[in-house]
Amino acid sequence: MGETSGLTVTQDPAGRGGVNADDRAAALLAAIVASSDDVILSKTLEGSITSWNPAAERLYGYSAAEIAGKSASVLFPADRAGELLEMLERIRRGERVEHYETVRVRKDGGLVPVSVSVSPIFDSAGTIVGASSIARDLTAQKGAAAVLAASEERFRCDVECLLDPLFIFKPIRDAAGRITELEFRYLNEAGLALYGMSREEVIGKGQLELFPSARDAGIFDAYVQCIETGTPGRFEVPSFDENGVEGAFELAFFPGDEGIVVTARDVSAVVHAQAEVRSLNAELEQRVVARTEELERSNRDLEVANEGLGASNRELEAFSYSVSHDLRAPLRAIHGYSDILVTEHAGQLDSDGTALLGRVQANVEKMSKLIEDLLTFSRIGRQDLRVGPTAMGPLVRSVLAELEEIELDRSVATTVGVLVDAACDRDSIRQVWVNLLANAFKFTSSRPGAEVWVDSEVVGDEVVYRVRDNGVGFDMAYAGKLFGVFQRLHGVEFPGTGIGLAIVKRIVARHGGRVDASGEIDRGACFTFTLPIHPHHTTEDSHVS
Amino acid sequence: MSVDHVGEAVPEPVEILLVEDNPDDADLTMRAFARQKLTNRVVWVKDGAEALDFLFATGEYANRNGAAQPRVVLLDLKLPKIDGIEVLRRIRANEATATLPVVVLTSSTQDIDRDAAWREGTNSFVCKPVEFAEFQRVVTELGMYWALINRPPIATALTVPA
Repeated sequence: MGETSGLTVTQDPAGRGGVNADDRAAALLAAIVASSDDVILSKTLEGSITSWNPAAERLYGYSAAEIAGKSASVLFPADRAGELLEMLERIRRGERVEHYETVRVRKDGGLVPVSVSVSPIFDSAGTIVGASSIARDLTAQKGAAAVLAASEERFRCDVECLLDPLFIFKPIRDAAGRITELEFRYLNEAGLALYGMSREEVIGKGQLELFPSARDAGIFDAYVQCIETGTPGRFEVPSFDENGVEGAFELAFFPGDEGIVVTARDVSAVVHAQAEVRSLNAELEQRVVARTEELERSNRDLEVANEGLGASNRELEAFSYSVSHDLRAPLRAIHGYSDILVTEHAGQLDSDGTALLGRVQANVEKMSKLIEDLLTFSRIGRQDLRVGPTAMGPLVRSVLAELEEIELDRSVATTVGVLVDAACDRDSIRQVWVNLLANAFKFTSSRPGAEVWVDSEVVGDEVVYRVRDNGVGFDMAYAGKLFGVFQRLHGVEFPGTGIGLAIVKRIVARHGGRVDASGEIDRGACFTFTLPIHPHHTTEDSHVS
Repeated sequence: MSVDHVGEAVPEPVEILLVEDNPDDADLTMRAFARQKLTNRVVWVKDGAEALDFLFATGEYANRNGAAQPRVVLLDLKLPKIDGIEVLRRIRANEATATLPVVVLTSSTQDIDRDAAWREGTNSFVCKPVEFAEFQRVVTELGMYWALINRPPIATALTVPA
């Protein structure tokens, strides 16, 4: 049967060189078949392959020698076996099969999409003797189409899944070419939900037809401008929710194939947040104004109070001055004249009279000392503190040296421990040490082995200073009275004005510190006071003197 | 011995001008001077205005020889009419008395007074002690020093006989 086909020899085009025209035509045809990119093969009416061009070998993997005489059914996938029989049947009836897309199996078992055309082969007597088949590899086309389809599908899904509404409009133009309407071509689900309409109610309708207000709102003109200029744009339009609360949509649009693509985003939350910020700002401003007024009022009150305070301070100043100056003059006169009586009129006085004048003078001296202490006490409350780093060790030793100078006739063993530096007004803290140490000396004066200890320790951000003695001590029941003005726990055996500890308390309090005392009758006393620690405090090695 | 207030009959030359409003203080001061035989040429004036009249030979002292100035002025601060600081200021402001030795002798122990007196050009600042023995010692030493030991400036010295 192969011999009956003019297409038998395909591997040997123009082989031996024909002698007549028929031979030459056959050779030319064979050359075309051999160089074709399309698969060209022929088979008998029973399906046996009779010819096989190089393209067939490239596509299906079989060589011509290998496939010759084999049934074409090897090229058909199992599920398409019927296709071959049906095709052969149509060929027998003299029919053609044109551009029929199907799938074939390669020698390696892989499937390949092809487009096939099959035609009957007639012999010289006009009898159908076989079928010729031309197949084109569709792999490349099928791949691109699949990618495109998948991409389109994904895009459609993306657009449908968008939470933001998306519309596509097509411009409708009048005879003059002016855009008179925008036709809804597409809306995603979010777009339909926004309008509360079905796709059928919207698609094909005009924007102005459905929403005439789009023109007054300026939306229509903005879209038209976008289409005419090919420039993307943005537009914010106010909106109202079901409760009538004002919000806004932000429209973003850009030119597309059909006309214009528009996305809308509900920016009501942003608008509400901005409104809230504005309202909060206004409220804040209101409060600032109110608070400022309040502060100004307070300031005026303070100024008035300050003026009052300044006035009473000035009065106090004047009072102190007067006490200092005027109270002393009569004392001096009393003292002076009683002295003159004793010295210049001794002859007219008996011993009792002289003694009485001595008492007058002693009282004058006491009063003078009281005035002096009171003035000191009052001055401490008013004077400015000059706070600075103060080396406590040298300060305490200088005070002790002074006291020892005064009390040369007795021996007091003093022990100075660690003394931490503090931030304080040196002069007034010196007064504190003088008063405390003088007390310690005074109340140990009746002791044969008088001892005084001084030390300090850091507690938190404070320094606690301590002065202890082994003197007569005091009853703790009266500890609360110790630091009061004119409070004295002892009689004439320990002279004093009762102001020394009050001065100590006032100075320490002005430094932000506290004073404390503990003691026991006949077992000594311990006085402590605190001061803020100096930031770069140093401590000295303890030493005993 | 008490001191009478001197009006017209001013002893010449005056060695000490005592400006003191309190008669007791003045008396005690004069007594202290007296114990040291220093009273001869002391003049006591009882307020600031009178002190200035004396120094500038005006008012009731118009007949006084204004060129003859004391060797020292003992000046209280709290004075009637014109207070001590103002008296001091005027003494220093006047060419004739600018270098006149002035000692502030006061009951005040107030820092503010001390500052003011030094700022206005006092030559010394002394607090009057209440105790008489101490008072006497202070006043005596002042008198001895300023009237006898100290050598005043030329303008003042000219008024003192050699």
